[in-house]
Amino acid sequence: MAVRWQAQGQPAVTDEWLSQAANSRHPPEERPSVRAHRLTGDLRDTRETANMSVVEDFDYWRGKPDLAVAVAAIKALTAVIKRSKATTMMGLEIELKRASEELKEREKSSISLAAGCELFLRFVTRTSALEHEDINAGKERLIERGEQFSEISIKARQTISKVGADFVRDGCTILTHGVSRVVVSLLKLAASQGKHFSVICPEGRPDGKGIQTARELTAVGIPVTLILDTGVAYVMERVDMVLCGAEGVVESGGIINNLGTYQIAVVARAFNKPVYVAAESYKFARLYPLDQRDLPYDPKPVTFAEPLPPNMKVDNPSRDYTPPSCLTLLFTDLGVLTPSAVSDELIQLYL
Amino acid sequence: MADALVEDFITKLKRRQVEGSLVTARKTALVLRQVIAAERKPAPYQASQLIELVKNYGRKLIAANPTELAIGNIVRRVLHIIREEDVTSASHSAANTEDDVERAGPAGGGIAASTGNRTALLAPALKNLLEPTPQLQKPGSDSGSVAESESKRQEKPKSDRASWRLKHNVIEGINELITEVENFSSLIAEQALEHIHQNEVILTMGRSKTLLNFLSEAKKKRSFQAVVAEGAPRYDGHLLAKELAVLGVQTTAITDAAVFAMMARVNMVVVGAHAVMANGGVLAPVGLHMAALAAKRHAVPFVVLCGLHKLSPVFPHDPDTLLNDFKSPSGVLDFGEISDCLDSAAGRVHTPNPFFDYIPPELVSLFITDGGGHNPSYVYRLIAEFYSPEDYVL
Amino acid sequence: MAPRKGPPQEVADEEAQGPLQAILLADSFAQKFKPITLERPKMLLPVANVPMIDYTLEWLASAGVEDVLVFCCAHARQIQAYIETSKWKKQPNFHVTPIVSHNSMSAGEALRLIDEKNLIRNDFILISGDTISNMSLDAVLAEHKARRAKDKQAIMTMVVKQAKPDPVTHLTRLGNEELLAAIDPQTKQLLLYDHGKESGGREGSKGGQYLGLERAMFEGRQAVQLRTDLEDCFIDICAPEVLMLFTDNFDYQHLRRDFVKGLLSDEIMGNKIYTYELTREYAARIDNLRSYDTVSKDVIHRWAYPFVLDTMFGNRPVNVKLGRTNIYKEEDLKIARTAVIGENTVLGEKTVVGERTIIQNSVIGSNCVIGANVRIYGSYVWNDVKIGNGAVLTSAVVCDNVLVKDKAVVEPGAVLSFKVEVGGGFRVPAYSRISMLAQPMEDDDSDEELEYDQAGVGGADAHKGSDDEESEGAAVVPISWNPEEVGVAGKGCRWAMVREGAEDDEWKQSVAPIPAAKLADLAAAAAEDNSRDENAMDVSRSARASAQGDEETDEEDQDSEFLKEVGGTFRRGVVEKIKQENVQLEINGLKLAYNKTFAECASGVFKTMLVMTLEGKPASPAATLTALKKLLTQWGSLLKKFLTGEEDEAEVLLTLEEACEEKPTRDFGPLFAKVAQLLYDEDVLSEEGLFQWEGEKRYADESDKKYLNQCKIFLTWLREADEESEEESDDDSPLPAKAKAAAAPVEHSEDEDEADVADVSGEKARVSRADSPESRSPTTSISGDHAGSPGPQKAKGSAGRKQAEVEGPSVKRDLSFQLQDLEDDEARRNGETTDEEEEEVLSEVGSAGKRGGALAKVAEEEEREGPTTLPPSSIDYENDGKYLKGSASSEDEETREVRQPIKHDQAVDRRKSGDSQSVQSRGPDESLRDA
Repeated sequence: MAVRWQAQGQPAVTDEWLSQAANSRHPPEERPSVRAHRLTGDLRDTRETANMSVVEDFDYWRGKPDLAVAVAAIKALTAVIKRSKATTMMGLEIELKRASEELKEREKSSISLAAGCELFLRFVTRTSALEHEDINAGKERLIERGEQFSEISIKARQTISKVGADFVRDGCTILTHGVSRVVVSLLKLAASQGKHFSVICPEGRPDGKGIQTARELTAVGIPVTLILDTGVAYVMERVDMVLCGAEGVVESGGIINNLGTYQIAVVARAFNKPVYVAAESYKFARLYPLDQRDLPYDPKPVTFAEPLPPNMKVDNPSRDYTPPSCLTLLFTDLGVLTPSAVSDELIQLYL
Repeated sequence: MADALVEDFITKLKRRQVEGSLVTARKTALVLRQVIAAERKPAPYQASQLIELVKNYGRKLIAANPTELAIGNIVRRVLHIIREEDVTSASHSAANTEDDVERAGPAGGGIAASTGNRTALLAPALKNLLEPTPQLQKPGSDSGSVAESESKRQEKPKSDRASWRLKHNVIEGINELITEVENFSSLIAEQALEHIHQNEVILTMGRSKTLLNFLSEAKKKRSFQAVVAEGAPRYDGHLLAKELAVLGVQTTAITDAAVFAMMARVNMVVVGAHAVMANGGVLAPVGLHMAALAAKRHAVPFVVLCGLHKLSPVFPHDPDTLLNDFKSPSGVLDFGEISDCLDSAAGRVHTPNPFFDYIPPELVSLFITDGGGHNPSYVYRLIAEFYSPEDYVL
Repeated sequence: MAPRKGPPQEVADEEAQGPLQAILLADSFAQKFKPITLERPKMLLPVANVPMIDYTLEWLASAGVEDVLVFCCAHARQIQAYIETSKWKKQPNFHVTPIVSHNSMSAGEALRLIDEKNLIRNDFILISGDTISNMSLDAVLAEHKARRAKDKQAIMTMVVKQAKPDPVTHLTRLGNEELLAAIDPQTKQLLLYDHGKESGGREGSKGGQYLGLERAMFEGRQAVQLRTDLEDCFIDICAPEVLMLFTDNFDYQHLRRDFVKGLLSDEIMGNKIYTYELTREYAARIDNLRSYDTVSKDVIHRWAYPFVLDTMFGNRPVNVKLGRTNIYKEEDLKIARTAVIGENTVLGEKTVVGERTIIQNSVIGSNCVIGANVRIYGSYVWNDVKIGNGAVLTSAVVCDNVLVKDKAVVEPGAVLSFKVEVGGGFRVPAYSRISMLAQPMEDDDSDEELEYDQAGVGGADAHKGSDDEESEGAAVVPISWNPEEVGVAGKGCRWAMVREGAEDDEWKQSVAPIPAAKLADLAAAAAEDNSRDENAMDVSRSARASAQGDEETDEEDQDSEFLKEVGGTFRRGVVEKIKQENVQLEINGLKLAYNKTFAECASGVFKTMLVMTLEGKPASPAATLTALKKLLTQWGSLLKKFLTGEEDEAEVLLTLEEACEEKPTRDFGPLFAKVAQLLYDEDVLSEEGLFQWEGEKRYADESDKKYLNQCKIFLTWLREADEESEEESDDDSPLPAKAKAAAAPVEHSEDEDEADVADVSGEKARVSRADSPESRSPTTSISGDHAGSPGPQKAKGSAGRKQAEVEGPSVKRDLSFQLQDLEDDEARRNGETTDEEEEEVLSEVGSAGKRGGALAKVAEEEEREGPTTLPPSSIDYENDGKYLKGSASSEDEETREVRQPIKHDQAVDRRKSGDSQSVQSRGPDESLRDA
């Protein structure tokens, strides 16, 4: 009924349209999730009456446990479309641009956020090219796709797990790093396929992301060894492969991930061990960092056991850049890619 | 009829009576053509049906000898052809003409064709991530492809003529594929002169028809030295050495163990391959990995000759067991000699006899295919050209 | 059109050789796998989870065979059913036709049956369903055909594989004796095939150190290879004639034992067997549990490539994943994370392995449930088996649906047949066999010859078994189970060793690796043998000596052969009332064939007469005489025809003397004079003849004169009848044979004891001792006769002993005894050569085997008597029985009893292999000389 209320603003969005969309787009088994989704949609709409900024919206979605940054961003942007009173696609686009700028301001350093926004804007421009004559049709299309994006991301995760799990050999030892939903689901899938392997997690100071991963994996009965971040080189000789997620995949085919990935990759390379990266394709970002300084710099607070003299400088950047030369393959929802293939995809997106 | 054919082929594959990627590839194509030709579905029928048909047979064939990647490649190639045809026939008939042109050279004019088709085929790509993709319609099934969805959309309009035409075109396409497969080696040989120069020392190992053609082609214009490693346990290097000597190439035959020692004097290593993986890694007769490393150590270019039909969209996970074929130990050790070490009490001697080596891409300098020379890092592009992403997983 | 354009090699072979046929014997006609084979035919037993027969069929199919006749006997239905349901039925251009027979007891009968059906048109492959190979038949077929084209008599090509030339290896691999073959290196013709027990040759002798070679073998050959490094693959390329041969010789049972030996032994037919040696390819036959173990391992180690598990051959469309160190895993396994799967292991589909379990060098079937903390080493676990926690299996065979409860222990070599249940914590002793079916009471002998009849029975009732679920007769299911045998709450009954009293044999043919100790022994034994052979070779002297040795023994054998033949012919003549002329003709024929003198024919005939007279069991001596008279009146003239002069007639008398001393005809002892007179009356003999004999006897020592003395009256009477001087006897015999003949046995009996000590090859010792009593019979008889006059007897005894001191070890005395005893005139001629032959005998000093050989030889003499003087019949045995009564010694009796039932077969085989036993290790050096 909320929808009907909203329908006054946008006559096109009607119950029957929604149902049509549902029928045409979703095979039966998809329905429940869709309905649930629409439910959240309704919620959001109610909140929307106290029309809030895109940033708040973003924070709201960010709060959801298994939603990636990019997804949250796109959802926020979709909300923007819903709210927008723009009458032309052009106007809409401008609105969205502004919104995405806001978001980027909100989380300056987040690569995937930027990537998400980029992706969506790109999509908007393409649709506007298609549907320039009828703004409403265009909005429908955008909203609808935007709302399904969370599903897309989940689906992507499944695909990645599937393509990646083949690489997990029976009886192998995997070194991972940080926490990544994709990596975890990939490992879980491999384990469910009856493969016996063990995982080594560096603890990941200061925020102990590694410990978090270790927990999740032990929960499903995968043997995990927790080591200090400094122990990587020590264990590398008995590691069969390195597998980690990525916050962003850049045009060079390298990745940007939380601090420590680079050193692991370097050590792995020294030992001639393969380094695999699992990352959804919406994390592909239009960046071409040449070295670490090209990354947006935002140090995280770090605590030390004993108090330090005030004049001592402490630096704890949150992420580092790993060049493609250190990576073997990327598992993405577009299939398994060699680092060099990544730029291809990006080029195709923006040509 | 078609089934009997397939069965026969499958048994031959299982018994390893059909071996070697060229023969296998060719035969696979022939069999599939037969299958499609024999398909007597009441028209109008859909490309999707053909695709399913081919996939089913394809799975069987691949299962018959999983180590022979050429089978899978050909199956995927055929599927790709069908999809293309479907798209073209879907687009209004005016387009047919230049489509034919496109189809004319899936090998040669490949890139143009493929780029053209990629838009149409709508493979999962970043740019259309937000487009309605089949994954959303049928989650969890890779077989679901846009091509099918499209074809479904056109079920009504499609007429007998159209479907007949589709089939006809597909068979045409397969015929071209067959011819391509048949004379890839001459295409490769043509490029010999670009790579082999006067008075060079070429090291090779084992024997393959392609390799021989390549060298003999070079011999016509250039005089060079060939160093042939025997290629244990098959020792087909001996044969190659003879053949080269007959051609008048100054030939040196060495044992595999002498490769490293020899490498210092070598200008280029040219070898044949069994298959090329999607990451640019190579499956080649056992012993070549060693040679490749030696070449790397001495910074000698390591060139791999391979027909495009050996190009596989599969990535090597666990290449040394999964994709390898372990032959009888008799190749390694004489039964008579070892028979007293064969009972468990005295502890048996392990005598694994792997047929292939996996050579990681970083050791390969260049692929010379019938489509020209390529860098290992470029292989994924070639794959994108010749296969539809939906078919990577059969 | 598509398939036509395949690579050449595939199309080629089909086209080349028309419809290529194969006969697959799906019944081993043996029972080494009892009790398992009571419930399922051997051919369907899994090797690495694939039924044996699939390997064979797959191979045949891939080798281009198009038509396979599967001969099923035991469990015919199961096999048929299997084939019907299998993919083999669906194969294009590959036809499998089951041929069922419920009463065939042997390969021979099977082939005869097939011949009747005449399904075989051209050359075919003869193979047993338990043969695993990957060889390509093209080459061997080509060779075979080429040979056939040249020589129609090259009817068979036998495939052999080279292995380590070492009996120990052979035993550890295939669990049977090593094969010894003589092959012409040029033509590859097989000249001698000796597979220890397998071929019924050298009784139980192991290794190739006692072996005889006929000279014929070397004729017209530059070289002959004697090879012990071959394994018989039991793959034969046969010409259709082979089937005919089987039909003709209805007594052929075993392919090797009878057929091959038969072919090799008879030169008359002149059929030839050739060999084809595998180089790279693999072939082996699963004959017993040991070879089952070995072949399984070979398959796992991929020797049989492409017939390895991961190529998905055979019927099961299961794909198998091969891991490093030969670990084969089928689909959807559930293996606990902490379980350890060791090297060379196969895990069947849907099998569950519990925590901390360790499996190594083992094959596990499908749907098995293996508990936690289980240890499985080198075992073969078939389908649907449940193994409780903490159980331990070591080198065991565990059939389908077996339940091994918690903490049970199965020791090496144990066999648990179908559905058996082993109680918790129970310890199944090593080498024990447990089955749900009780062991049949009539249990078999370790004697190989018996295997047939037994196998027949086994097969037959097993077949019945397949009809109604429980096989009856042989196998009934007891109601209650004995906890002693299978533990508390266990099911199944323990079988006694399948081969009676063969506890020490069990380890040879079980799946368990041979215990280190045994191995050591074997190795030692082998080493010893070798060393012995060597010094035998070194010492062995002048070619001349050994050559001569050959001659003698050859003749010796021929001689006995000949006597038998003559006897047989004559007997037939009498029994079937054949015309004298014809009988005479036949005997003449024999005479020529064996190149003998008339005298020998005569004595042969005469001996037979004597024997026959006694068969009537005449009550009184008088009766005996009348019986003999009857014969003589009827056939005397025939006898006469063979007597050309005094010498011959004297010969007859000498024969008579012998006869009087030999057991069967000893009753004539007292009647000698009468018989002589009878002969005279029937004018078979003339005065001259008698005097001639007397003359010969003149210088003989006392004991020999005893018959002479008997005849004194008669002779004097004769002399009176017409005055004749007796001075014309000029023949000089330094030491008439009989003397030694008498002397030697006295020593001979002693040798037995020495034999016990010295003999290394145990079985041999046993055999020879079993035979010896007969061989000793002359001794006993003599001493019996001389109870009255001990004096001279002693003298002789001591004389014999002196001889012994001079000559050294008694071995030689046996031999000399042999030679002379067999051939009197030979001995007479050899007055001087004896020392020579003693020399060459010396050369073999120390080879205990020789003694064995010699004894066995002695045995043969007796053996030959048995079945052949009469056609095989009960009379024969009664006869023996009778004479046993005569000779008091009791252990003779029982040994004889044991032997009776098998006497005939043995004799047959023996006769085939006899000659090869008589000459000892001279063979090798001779071959060396020639090579």
